[in-house]
Amino acid sequence: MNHERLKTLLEQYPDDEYFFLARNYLGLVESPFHKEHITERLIGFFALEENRDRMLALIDSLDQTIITALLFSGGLLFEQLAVLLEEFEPYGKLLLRVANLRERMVVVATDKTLLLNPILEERLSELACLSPLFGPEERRIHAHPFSYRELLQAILTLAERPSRSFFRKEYEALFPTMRGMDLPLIFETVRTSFVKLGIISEDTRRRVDWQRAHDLFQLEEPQLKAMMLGIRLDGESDGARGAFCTDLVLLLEDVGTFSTSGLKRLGDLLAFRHHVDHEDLVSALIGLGLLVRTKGGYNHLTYTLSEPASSFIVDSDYSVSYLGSLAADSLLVRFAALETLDRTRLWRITEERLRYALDEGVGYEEIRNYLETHMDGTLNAALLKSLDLIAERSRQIRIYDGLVLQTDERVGRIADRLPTLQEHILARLSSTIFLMKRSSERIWRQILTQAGLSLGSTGGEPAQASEADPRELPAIGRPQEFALPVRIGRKVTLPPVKLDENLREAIRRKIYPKEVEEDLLERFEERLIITSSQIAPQILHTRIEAGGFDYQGKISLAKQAASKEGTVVQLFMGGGEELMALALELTYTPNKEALFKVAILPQMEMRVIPLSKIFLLRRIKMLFL
Amino acid sequence: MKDTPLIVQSDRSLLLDVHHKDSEACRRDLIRFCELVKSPEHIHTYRISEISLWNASGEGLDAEAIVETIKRWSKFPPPESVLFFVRDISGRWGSLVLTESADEAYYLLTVSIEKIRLEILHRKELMKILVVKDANSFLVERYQRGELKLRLIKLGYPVEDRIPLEKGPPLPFDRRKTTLGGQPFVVRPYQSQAADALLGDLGRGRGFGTIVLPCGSGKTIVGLEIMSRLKTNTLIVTTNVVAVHQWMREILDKTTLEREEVGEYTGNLKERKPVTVCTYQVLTYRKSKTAPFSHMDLLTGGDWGLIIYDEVHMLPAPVFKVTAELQATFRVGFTATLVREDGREDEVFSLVGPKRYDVPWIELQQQGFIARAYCHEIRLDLPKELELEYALATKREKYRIASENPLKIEVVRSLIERHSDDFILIIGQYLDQLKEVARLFELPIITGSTPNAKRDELYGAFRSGEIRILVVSKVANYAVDLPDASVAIQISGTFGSRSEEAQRLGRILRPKGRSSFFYSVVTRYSSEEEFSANRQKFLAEQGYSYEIEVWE
Repeated sequence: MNHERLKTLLEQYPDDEYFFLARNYLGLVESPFHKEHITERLIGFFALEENRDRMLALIDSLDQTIITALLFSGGLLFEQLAVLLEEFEPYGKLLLRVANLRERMVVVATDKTLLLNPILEERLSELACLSPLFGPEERRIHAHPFSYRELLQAILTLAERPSRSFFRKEYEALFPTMRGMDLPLIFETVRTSFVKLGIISEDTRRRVDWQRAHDLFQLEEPQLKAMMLGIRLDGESDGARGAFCTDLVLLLEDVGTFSTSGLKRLGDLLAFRHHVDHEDLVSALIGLGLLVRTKGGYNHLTYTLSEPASSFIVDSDYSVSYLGSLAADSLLVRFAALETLDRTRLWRITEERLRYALDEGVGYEEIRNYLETHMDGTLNAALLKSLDLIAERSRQIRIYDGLVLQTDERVGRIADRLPTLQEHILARLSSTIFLMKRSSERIWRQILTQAGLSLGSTGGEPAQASEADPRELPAIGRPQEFALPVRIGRKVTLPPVKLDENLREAIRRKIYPKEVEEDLLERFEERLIITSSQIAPQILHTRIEAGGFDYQGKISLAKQAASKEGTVVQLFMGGGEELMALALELTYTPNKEALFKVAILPQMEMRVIPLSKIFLLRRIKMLFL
Repeated sequence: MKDTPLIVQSDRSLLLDVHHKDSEACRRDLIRFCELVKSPEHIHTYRISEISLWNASGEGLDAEAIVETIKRWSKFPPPESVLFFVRDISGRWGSLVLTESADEAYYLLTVSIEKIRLEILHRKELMKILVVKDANSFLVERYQRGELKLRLIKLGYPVEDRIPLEKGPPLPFDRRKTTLGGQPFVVRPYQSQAADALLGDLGRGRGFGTIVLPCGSGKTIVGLEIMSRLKTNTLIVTTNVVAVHQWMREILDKTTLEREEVGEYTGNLKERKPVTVCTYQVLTYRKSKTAPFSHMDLLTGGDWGLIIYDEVHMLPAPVFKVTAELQATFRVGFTATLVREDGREDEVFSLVGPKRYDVPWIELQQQGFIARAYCHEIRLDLPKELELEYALATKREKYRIASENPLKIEVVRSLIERHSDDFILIIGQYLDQLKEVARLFELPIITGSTPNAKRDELYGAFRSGEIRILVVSKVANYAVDLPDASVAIQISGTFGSRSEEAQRLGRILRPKGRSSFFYSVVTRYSSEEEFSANRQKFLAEQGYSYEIEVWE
């Protein structure tokens, strides 16, 4: 498969590039040329394990950085690569190195896109590393002793509190390990994502769709984080966006500590890979509690996956504590209030939460059974009695959404006689059932509450739920699988590159004309010659240059470069200035002075330079922009 | 995960599994540098605070020893932030040192960290009471010693006070081995430990602090033990005249001090003796809002070697201020419930002294030093004719209507019948309600308007068994010792006051060879239920649980 891919790529190469590679690696190539046969031989050359070993032994740290970038991105234009790596190497040096990598067949190109040689890709990926491309070598772990799912579960329980604002200052005490983080932002970001996912609805009051929440919480941690990130970034989490987010989430974990530019680089590379944009990525990650800003960059926040929760300890102060993680569909979060999310999770069974759960349709028997099943020992009699009474009380009044108010006799008596309530009662269905005005629901609820009559559960199908079209909500499911071919090491230390001196000797031992020997030695220094079979009496002109007083040589080289679109030249000017440029045109003044029109890279600034001002002119082979 | 009993949380709370085999050993280590926050049935919560760490530093426990202890007992690696806190906060101890100066009118404050010295120089509120002496020290007037310490501790800088406490005039006396009443008198181990914790070797940094013990566990005896170790003139400040008399009775009963050596300083009697017992009320009495406190000189001008603040959580603001000036005197505060509604617990620690001893209520109950108590909440409906009145009432009125629910009378009647041979206190908030109970059941009643002599007489009759049932208002909430009371019926209370609930339970906790029963009678479906739940929080955190009965 990889052989086929390389074959296809080579077939697209222009002849001069193709034959340069063929001659360099295969030695003398006799005419008439049979390209298919030559290609087979080339592929055979790179398929040979010992040749691959030799090529890999010549990889240095700059090669490694470029390889890593290409591996992550799945392919880049040179200009993209240059922007990504601008803080690593000057443009010119990078350009020359990419040209060299193409000559060494580590990198191949198709339609100007740089790729890793498919035959070498698997081996090259072993050399790829996360540092220094994305962050420093030293990882600073900032781990919370609970899972990400538990954080979201906790936030969701707080969403049910009857408060206008989603975040309240006192919540900070519930998350002591998150001290110093921007909790209001995290709450707001999570809220927005939950609303988009249809887990939180905010019509007349804030409600949680726990079934959808359970679907979400069933996902494994990376998928859960990726889902939240995808939703936050553009409201969807499937397809390319899902793959981008999943890759990113896994790599955040691997890298851990990022420089500011490193994180941007990672986002850019994955965005190139998956063809998505990622504006606002940093604030999305911070907002979701996956990243925290540090002095020099960012730290990934990790969440600890624990064993399933131990048995609950239900104490005499109604607190519930346990170690480990609650199940995705745990009922505890429905009827208990969070006290602390830390190593030990602490909740407290409160009347408010219990009544809310009952109001939302959780069965009282279900709650009791749940507690009895999950706790150590038996339920404290006093607690049980207290729960019984709350449940009983919640059954006293049942409000049929919009119109029907059912009470017990005591409340019925009061409702019947409350002066302010009368205008909201459309009819008395019985002594305990009232038909209420839908339009003034808020007002008559208030009247009842002010009268000290706690409102009980709301029966029937909530209106907003029936109006919502589930097809409009994003699907909750496993995002696309992790797409990177292999897991990449944090820091892969390469041995220093050592050229094979036996080869140099072998070249010297051949009795070749001087210019042939020089050409061979030049290619050897450029790491293009890796085995003795490549030593053949031919000149390939790896580097074509003219300088000094060789004015005619410079004219000839400039003309040649300008004649082929996209040819890159290196210009060494007086005063030590060094430029990389696209050759455009060679013209003459009336005085016959040669002028070289070039576009200076990377800005593509047009300049017309008298050839006499160019100290050395060099044509870069193989790199056609 | 180690098999140890402690989990350290990031908020610096430490959760102790009390059922673990090593929990007791762990607890002994923790109390040296932590405060007990709550102690329900299974998991006790301790907390590391600035004050608790500086207290430990003052006793010679350094940061590394604390870190090592935490690591040793912790089931999981403790959070780095907690260890950092311990090292950072403990590390501040010793950077500000208060010593004697050459000038007798001043003390010398030496600051060894330049950053702190600069901060002091830029703090106006500090420089008002400090005079720069040289490059690293300041002078402070002697009477500002407490104020300076308080202001600095609020900024996060503890002062290591190396000025030894002043020994007061000697007062030779001993504890009796047999009380005047002929009973053998032995100080219990925890009472002795509490005195040890306060006094230590009487060296630097000892001799002042707060002792927290459950109601009925004998805080007075701890006071007597401290007095008998220091043998010096002592002022005891307590909450009411009845408590003054109780202290005097106990002193005379259990020490060799004679009546002429023990004085009562109250509204009725103004005796200044080597041991004087007074009330907060008399100390803070003044003729008008702007007039000086007529009797405050008892506290400031007396040559006291020891001051005992009984029920220190009730310390009134003017006494706070004066206490700040009394930093050279041995002093101890007693309380069962260091919960102040004004949030000034920290000031109690700063001025009277840090918490030196605390023991879970249930532990003393298990050891038999306080009575086993069963708590019940009895819920009953409002009568139908009050339902609408309740519904239309304001929030405050609602509470009152619910509290004074007339059907509570029937509950009281039934409980009296249920406990036909118990000594019963009927406690409430509203006088009309209490008077009605007293009238209906023909019971004696004590309220704020009952003269002290009458109160003493009624309490005496209750103690002697002449009276079996007593109706009392909130005047009996604190410091009233009624050893035989075994049933308390609370028919109303001060909204959600947690300490009141605990103190009322405390009235029946004296061990007496039988269990005690605490009944809280609450109107169902009313705001009284919510307040009741709040009232019960403190006791729930001490491991008590309320059994709920519905009265139908």
